[in-house]
Amino acid sequence: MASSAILFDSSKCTACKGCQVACKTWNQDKFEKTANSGSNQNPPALSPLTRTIIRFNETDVDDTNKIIWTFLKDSCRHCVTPPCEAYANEVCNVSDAVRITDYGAVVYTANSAKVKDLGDACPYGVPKQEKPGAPYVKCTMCFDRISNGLKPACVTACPPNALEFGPRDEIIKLAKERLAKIKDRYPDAHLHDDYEDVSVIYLLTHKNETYQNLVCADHGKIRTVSRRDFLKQIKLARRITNMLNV
Amino acid sequence: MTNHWVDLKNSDVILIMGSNAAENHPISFKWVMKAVENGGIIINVDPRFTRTSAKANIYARLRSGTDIAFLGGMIKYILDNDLIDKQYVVDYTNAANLVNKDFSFNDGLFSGFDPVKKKYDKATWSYQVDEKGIPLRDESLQNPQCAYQLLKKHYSRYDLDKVEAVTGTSKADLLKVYEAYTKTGAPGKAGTIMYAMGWTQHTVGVQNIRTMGIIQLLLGNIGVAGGGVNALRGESNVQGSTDQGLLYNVIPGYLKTPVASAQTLADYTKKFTPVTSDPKSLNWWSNTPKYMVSFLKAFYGDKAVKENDFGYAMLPKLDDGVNYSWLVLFDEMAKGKFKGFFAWGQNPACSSANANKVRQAMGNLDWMVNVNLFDNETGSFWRGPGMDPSKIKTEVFMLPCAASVEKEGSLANSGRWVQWRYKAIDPPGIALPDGEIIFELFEKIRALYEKEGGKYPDPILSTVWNYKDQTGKFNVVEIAKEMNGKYAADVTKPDGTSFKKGTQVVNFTVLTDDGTTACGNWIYSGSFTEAGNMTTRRNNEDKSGIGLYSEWSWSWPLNRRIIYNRASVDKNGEPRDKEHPVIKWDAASSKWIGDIADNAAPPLSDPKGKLPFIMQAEGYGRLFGGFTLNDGPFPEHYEPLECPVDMNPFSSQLNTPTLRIFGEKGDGNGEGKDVFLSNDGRYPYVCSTYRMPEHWQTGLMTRYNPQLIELQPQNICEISKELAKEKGIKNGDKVIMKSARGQIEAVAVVTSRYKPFVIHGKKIHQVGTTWHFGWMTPSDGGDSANLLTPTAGDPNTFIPESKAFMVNIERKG
Ligand code: SF4
Ligand code: SF4
Ligand code: SF4
Repeated sequence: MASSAILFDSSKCTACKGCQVACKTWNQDKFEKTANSGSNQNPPALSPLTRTIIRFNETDVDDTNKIIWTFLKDSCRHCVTPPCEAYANEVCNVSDAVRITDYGAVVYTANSAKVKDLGDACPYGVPKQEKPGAPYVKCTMCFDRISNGLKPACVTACPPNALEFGPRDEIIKLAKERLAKIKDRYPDAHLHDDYEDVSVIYLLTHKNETYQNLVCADHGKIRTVSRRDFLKQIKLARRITNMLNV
Repeated sequence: MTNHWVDLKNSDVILIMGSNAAENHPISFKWVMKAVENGGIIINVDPRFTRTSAKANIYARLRSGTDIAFLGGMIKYILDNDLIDKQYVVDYTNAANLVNKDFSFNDGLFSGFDPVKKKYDKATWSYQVDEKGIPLRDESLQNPQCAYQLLKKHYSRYDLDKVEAVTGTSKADLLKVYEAYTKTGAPGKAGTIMYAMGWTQHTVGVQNIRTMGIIQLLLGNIGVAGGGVNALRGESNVQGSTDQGLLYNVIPGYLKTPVASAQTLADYTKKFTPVTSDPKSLNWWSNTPKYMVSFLKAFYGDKAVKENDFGYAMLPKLDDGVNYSWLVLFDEMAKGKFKGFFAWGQNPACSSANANKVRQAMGNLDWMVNVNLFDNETGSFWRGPGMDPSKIKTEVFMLPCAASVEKEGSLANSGRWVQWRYKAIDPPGIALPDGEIIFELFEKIRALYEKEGGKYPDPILSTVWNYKDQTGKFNVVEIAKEMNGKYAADVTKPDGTSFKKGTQVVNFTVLTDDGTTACGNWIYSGSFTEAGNMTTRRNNEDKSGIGLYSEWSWSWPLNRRIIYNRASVDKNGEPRDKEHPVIKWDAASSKWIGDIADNAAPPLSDPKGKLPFIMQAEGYGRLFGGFTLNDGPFPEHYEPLECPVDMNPFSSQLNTPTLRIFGEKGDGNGEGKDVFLSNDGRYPYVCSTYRMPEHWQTGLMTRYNPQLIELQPQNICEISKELAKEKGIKNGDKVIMKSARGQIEAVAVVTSRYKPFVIHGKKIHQVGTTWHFGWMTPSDGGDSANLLTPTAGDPNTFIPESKAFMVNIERKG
C-alpha cells in the first residue's frame, strides 16, 4: 500500500472544529474540562485526550480595519523519517514503540510507555502522555480506518473539504495545483516548508508568522546519535516561528 | 431560499450579509468554496470580523442596524452608473409600471400615514391602471411616475457621505463592495445573497430583505443559477415548520389564516384571492379557492360538503387586525391573560427577547406542558435565578420527546428540498415522537368531547384523523400522503381518464374547488404520488450540469429547484447564461427542458406567453412593492429602537414609524420591564447577540454534550482592543454586560475583529455575545443573552430586534 497523506488547505478551513469532534468521536477519547481564556481555541493545546486542535491567530495588518485571522489544524505530521521513531529505537532502545505502517501512518503502541520524554523527540511537540509511564497518545492518521478503505474521520467530517486524503504523491500534486490556483488571491500562499518530510501537508494562505505555534522542523539536521546530542539537535532544529504559544 | 444549497456553487459573487454562514451554516461552505474554486468571490459585510470574513475576498464592517443605508447606497450606485440588467428590468420587473399619482414620500413617511394609530392606509401604494385594470407601463422608464423613476428619486438621498456617517463603513469599503457586487448585473453573471437572522432580527427586518430583493431584480439575479434571495434557515426543519403553517398568520401551504370578517368560504376566497385582468399574468394565487377547498376536504373529509362551505365555518378565525405573534403572546401572558401554555420543542426562557419578562410571565400560568428532549430553563423557570418557588403556582408537566434520529418523517431544508429521514434508534424510556404525542393528545381530547359534549364539539368531532396503520399505531407515512393529497371522490376527467376515490393526486395542478380532491398542503402536492414517496429518492446523478440533482429527494413546488426560473431566459425562452442554463424552451416539442419550469406556458414572446413572477398578481418582480407590508413600499433607513444616536440624516423619523412599543420608551431601569434607552450614557455600546458553530440555539442540545461544551465552555463577550483599554478589561476577564432590562456575566474576548465605528463623527463601540447559554448547565457557563434583548419587533413579522440594542459592560469585581 502506497504512502498516504492528508492535505490541510487553509484557504478553505472555516475553523468549524468539525475535525476536532470527529477525531474524539472516532477515537472515543474522553473530554476535557475547559475554560474560556479569551479565545475560540479550545481545548487550548494538544493533550493526551486531544489529538488534534484548530489553532486561531489574529494579526493586525496595519492600523486600518484589516486583520488576518488564521486557522491551523495541529496534529502529528506523520514524518517520513520520524524523529520520534529514531529516538525510541536508537536512543532509548525500545523496540516496537513506534510503528511506521504501510500507509506512512506513524502509530504508537503500548510499548511507547517505556520510552522516556518521547514528547521532546518530536519537533512539533505532538506526543502527549497522561502521566509518566503511560503510553503516548497522538493522531494515528486513523490507521484503523484507512486500512479498511475509509478516509480519516477528520477528513470525512470536514464540510468545506479543507482536508483531503489520498496517496502521498497525489496529495502533494493536489497541494501544488491548489497553491497555483490561490496564489493570485493570496500572494503569500505557500506549502509549509517541510512538506517533503511529512505526510500532513499544509497549504497556507499567509506567512508562517501569522499562524499560531507553527513549527518548522529541518528534518535534514536530525541524526541519530547519542540521546543527549539527539535532543540538543532537535532543539536546534525546532524553530518556533510564532511565539504566541498558549 | 429561491435557490438551494448546491446552487451556491454557480455564483460569481456571493454576498454574505446578515448571516455568518461559515459559523452558523457550516455545510453551506462546501458549496461556497466550490464557487470560489470556480473563480467566484465572497463579499462579507458584518459588524464583526467572523470566521466567514476570514474567507471573504472583500470584507466591510457596518454598524449593526444600518443595512438599509448600506444597500440603499448600492441601489443609488447601480442607478447612477446605469448598471441595471436593462432587458430583465424592463421585461420582468415593475420598473415600467406607473404608480398611483397620490403616492408620496415625505421626510421619512409614505403617503397614508395615520400618526395616531401609527398605521398606514395603503390605498396609494398601488399602480395606475387602464380601463381593464391592467397596470399602465412606460417601458422607456422615463415617466416620472414609473416605479424606476420613483426608486431613483427615493435613493438619490443615499449618497456616500450620508451612508458612511450612518453605517460607519468607510467610503472606500462601500465602493469596493458596490463595485464588486454590481458586476453581476451583466447578463450571464450571477450574484447571490446569503442572509439569516442578521437581517430579520431588526425593527426593519423585512425591509432589509426587500432592499436586497430590489438589488437582485435590478441586476437580473432572480430565477438564475447562482442567484436568488437566499434565507439560511437556522434549524434543520424550520422551513418545514413554516411550510406546515406553524406561524399564526398562515395555514399549511402559506394560505392565509381565516379571519373573523370572512365568515363564509366565499368571503374568504374573495378577500384572499388576488385578481388580474392581464392575460400575460398567470397570478398563481388565483388558485387559492382550489387549495383551500382541498385543504378543508383533507381536514373534514366527508363532513366537508358544498352545502356546508366544506366545513369552512369550523376553522378557527383570527380577530381582524389583532397580532398573535410571539412578542404579543408573551406580553399577554405577562398580563395574566393565559391559563395554560404548551412549550413545544422550544426554550422561551432563553430564546425569547427580554427573557426576564418571559420568565416572570410564566409564573402567571396555571399550567405549562414542556415537550422537549431534556428539562430546560423553561420547564424549570420556577426554580431559576431570582425566583421564589413557594410563590409560583404554575404546575409544569414534562413530556419527553424523541430526537431527530429517533423518529421517521420528512425534513425540509432551506432550499425547499424535502427529504425523508428514517429512524435510526428507538427513543429512550417513555419518550415519543412529537407526532405520536399530538396524535394521542387529540384522541384523548376527542374522546372527552364525545363523552361530555362541550360548547362547540363539531370541529373536533369532524376532523379526519386517519393516521393509524394496520397495527393501530400512529404512522407518519399517512400524514405525508395526506399532505400530497388524494381524490375525494371517483372522478372521470373530460379526456376520459378516471381516478378512484383515495387515489393519490399527481400534483396540485389537478386540485379542484368542487370537493373532489383533498390535499393537506398544496405546496407538498407531488411529493407522495401513486409512484411512491418522492422524498425518499436518493439518485445523486446530476443530469442538469448545474447541480439541480432533480432525482435526489423532492423539492416544493413540483420538484422545482430554482424558483422564478422563467426569469433566467429571454423572451424567446433562450437561457441568458449559456454556461448555467436553468431551463430552455424546446420549440420542437413545445416544452421546457431543464429544471421544472415555473409554468408550462410558452415563452413571453409567444401570444400565450406568461410573465415570470407568477406569485405576484401583476406578474412582475416588484421594485415598488411591499403592498401588503405595514411599513412602506420602498425600504427606508430608520434607527433601531435602541440606538447610539439621536438623529437620522435621511429624515426626522428616528425609528420606523409603525413600530409597536411594548411598555415605555426610556423610563429607567428594571429587570424584565419593557424599557428602552437610546443615546443614553448609561448604555453606550451597540450590542448584537449571535450564534457560534460549537453550539446550537439556546444550547439545550449542546450544553449537555461534553464534547461540545469542551469546545466552547462559557459564554463570551467580544470587544475591541480599544474598548478593552478604555474599560481596563483584559482578555479572559469576567465581565458584566447590562442593558436597561437585565444583565449577564461572560468571559471577555478582546479582539481586533471588532473595531470602534465613527458614526456622525463620534466614536461608537460595538460588542457582541452569544445566546447559547442558560443557568441550568454548565454551572459556570453564564445565563442567556436574551436577558438583555428588547421586546421590540419588526412591524410585519414581530421578529425581535436582538441584533441591535444598547448595553454597558464592566469588568467583574
Ligand atoms: S473540519 Fe475542516 S473546516 Fe472545520 S476546522 Fe477542521 S479542517 Fe477546518
Ligand atoms: S510529527 Fe512528531 S510524533 Fe508525529 S511522526 Fe513526526 S516526530 Fe513523530
Ligand atoms: S487522522 Fe484520525 S486521529 Fe488523526 S486527527 Fe484526523 S481523526 Fe484524529
